[in-house]
Amino acid sequence: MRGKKKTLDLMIAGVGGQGNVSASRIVGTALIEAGYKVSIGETFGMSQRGGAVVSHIRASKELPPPPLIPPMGADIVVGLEPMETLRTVLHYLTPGGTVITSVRPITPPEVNLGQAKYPKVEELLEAMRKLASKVISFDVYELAARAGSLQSANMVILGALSATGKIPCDEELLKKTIAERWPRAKEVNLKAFELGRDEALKQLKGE
Amino acid sequence: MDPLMHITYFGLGKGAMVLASGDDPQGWSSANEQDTRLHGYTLELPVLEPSNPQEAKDMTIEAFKISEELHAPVILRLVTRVCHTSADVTFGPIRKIERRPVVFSSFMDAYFKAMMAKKAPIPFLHERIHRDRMPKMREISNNFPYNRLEMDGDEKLGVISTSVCNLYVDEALSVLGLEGKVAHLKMGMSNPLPDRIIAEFVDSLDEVLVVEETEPFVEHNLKALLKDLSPGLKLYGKESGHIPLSGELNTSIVAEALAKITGKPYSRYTQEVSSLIAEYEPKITARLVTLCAGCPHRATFYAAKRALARLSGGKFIGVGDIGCYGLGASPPLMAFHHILCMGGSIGLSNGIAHTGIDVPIIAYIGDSTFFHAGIPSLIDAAYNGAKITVIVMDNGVTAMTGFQPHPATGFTATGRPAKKISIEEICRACGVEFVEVVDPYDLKGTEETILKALEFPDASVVIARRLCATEQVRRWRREGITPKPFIVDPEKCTGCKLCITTFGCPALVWDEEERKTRIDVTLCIGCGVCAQICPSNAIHSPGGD
Repeated sequence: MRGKKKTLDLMIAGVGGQGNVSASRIVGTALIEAGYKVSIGETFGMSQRGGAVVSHIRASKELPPPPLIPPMGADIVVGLEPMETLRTVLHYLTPGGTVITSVRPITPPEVNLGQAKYPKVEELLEAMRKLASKVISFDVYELAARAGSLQSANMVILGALSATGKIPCDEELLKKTIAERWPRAKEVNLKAFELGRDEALKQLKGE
Repeated sequence: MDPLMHITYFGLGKGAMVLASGDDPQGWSSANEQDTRLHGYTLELPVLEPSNPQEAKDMTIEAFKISEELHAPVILRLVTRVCHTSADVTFGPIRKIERRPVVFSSFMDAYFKAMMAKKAPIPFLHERIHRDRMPKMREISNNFPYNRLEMDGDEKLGVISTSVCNLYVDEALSVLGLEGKVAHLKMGMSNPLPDRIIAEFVDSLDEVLVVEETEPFVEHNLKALLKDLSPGLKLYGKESGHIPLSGELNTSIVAEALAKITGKPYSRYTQEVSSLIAEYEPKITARLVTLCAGCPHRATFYAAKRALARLSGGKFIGVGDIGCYGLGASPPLMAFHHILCMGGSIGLSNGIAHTGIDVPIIAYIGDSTFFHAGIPSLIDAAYNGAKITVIVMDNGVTAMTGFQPHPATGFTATGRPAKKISIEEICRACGVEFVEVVDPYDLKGTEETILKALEFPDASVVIARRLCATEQVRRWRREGITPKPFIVDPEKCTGCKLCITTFGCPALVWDEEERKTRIDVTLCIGCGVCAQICPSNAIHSPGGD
């Protein structure tokens, strides 16, 4: 038995160093601009050192929301690394929610050392499809490289997020927030954002 | 605690003091779950517990006001979910207060006056706290605007919570459809408890659940109050098994406790999700944190292990310290065996050396930790003749906690330029006669110098100096420089995997199908250290060197 949901809940999963926290700040700032109370919680090992990092972004028109999204509570899960996306989707995605994920694995040390096996990416995506109503997937780094900088991978995924229409702030507001946050990297970041957005729109149309 | 035990007796005289202490339930980035509220109890000081960033800001102002009123420090107890949450915060008016420093003689004055009057100064000062400060603290707690009662009066069940748990309780009540049916006392000040508010709260209730992180602090103090207020009240919390005694709480844990009490159905996952978790979770591997690609610490550890292999066949006792380099204990480096606290590397090594054990002893300490807590024990080592080798992992920043400056960086925390304090000169002044500086990216040179240090008959220091890789990339980015990843020549790579199994940079990826190493261009910063390790010369720069 569950009461009525009062928050928009979005999670961004990834590996430390991928720009997950910066991406969540952009979405959070844009949602505040759009008139929401926003809270961003992070679960992390050590965020810049290759561990799993998850940001919990919660927005509400009423009171400030608690910092963590409860199990099965996320409307959208965005992932910069496919295994990390599934780790989050399994526990947090509301059945029928939306998933956007990169398909390029970042191999954990345990796997390189031969102590563990990395699952097949197709199998990870298949698991996500069992829970989500829509899974948008592509290689963020391929698009980031096309935009001119691998570091803009997090902007690619934000572009894709804006294409879903699932968050209550428009594309222009997100772009403005990005441009103001990093004025010098504006051109590359916005190009990365557009490439992610175009790719997601293409997949949403079923091309 | 030592200075605080004195300040709490003598008082502040003039001005105010607020102590912000971050507790880490679940130990997300700490090695323990310290609950500062118990220090507040010992120190007999007020403890405030904000529940979110807005309250953290607002209650800091309250804390200063209370401190001025009581002439005593006030503790602002923060938990991970308050410290590591970003949220929109509304500012109030920013007051500009004109104040100038004044001389006053409160501390010693009070001490001597009391000693002369009572011939027993300390108990007199302690008695004063109980006589004067405690009743005032209790009154402040009863009137504290963040000790909020939410009840209609016809509820039979109530919840008392503090800090971020206030929000978990709200959400759990909403999830269970119990909004408005359960009385809620949200507490922003937990030491001392607001006795009058609690009396009002429990008056009409049959049952109360206490929700707090981490120790049952409110729960215990509440029990003491209830003995007189409402001895028949049913109390649930940590000791009844409804709330766990350790670890971080969340909405689900609170919902489970409330479901158990009220009989409402609740489960975290549906059957469908539970079976998907059971099917797929075993296939997802762990992802342990590791030193970054290009991290100079990894090169230092590698060179030291090579030196130790040559000196003693790899037998040694290694002690680490608090910082990124703590990750050097994990595979494949496994560079040390013990780690305790700030400065513990040199201190523990001293003790181990004096046992007379016959293996090399190596201590790893970062530049910032060295300044903070390494110097007294280095003097101890030099003076008392502890034969240890200290490696100062000097990456030029306080990397682990967010790249703060330290006394060797040449600028202060406010960004003001300052004179640089030399680590090597400090080591020599401590009485250490072997002090050498190496560049860890020069693997061979580092290995030879560490070997010499290990062979030195007294305490020795090697300073491994190279800018933190993450900071280096940031600086490059500001200058418009992009890192140039190295390349593995697949023709030359024999698949021996030594680069991964002995060095383990995360940019070195094992290609299971090709049975060869490749380099992840999104991670490699082009430090070139792995190229010095490859026995087949298969790794080279994009320019071919």
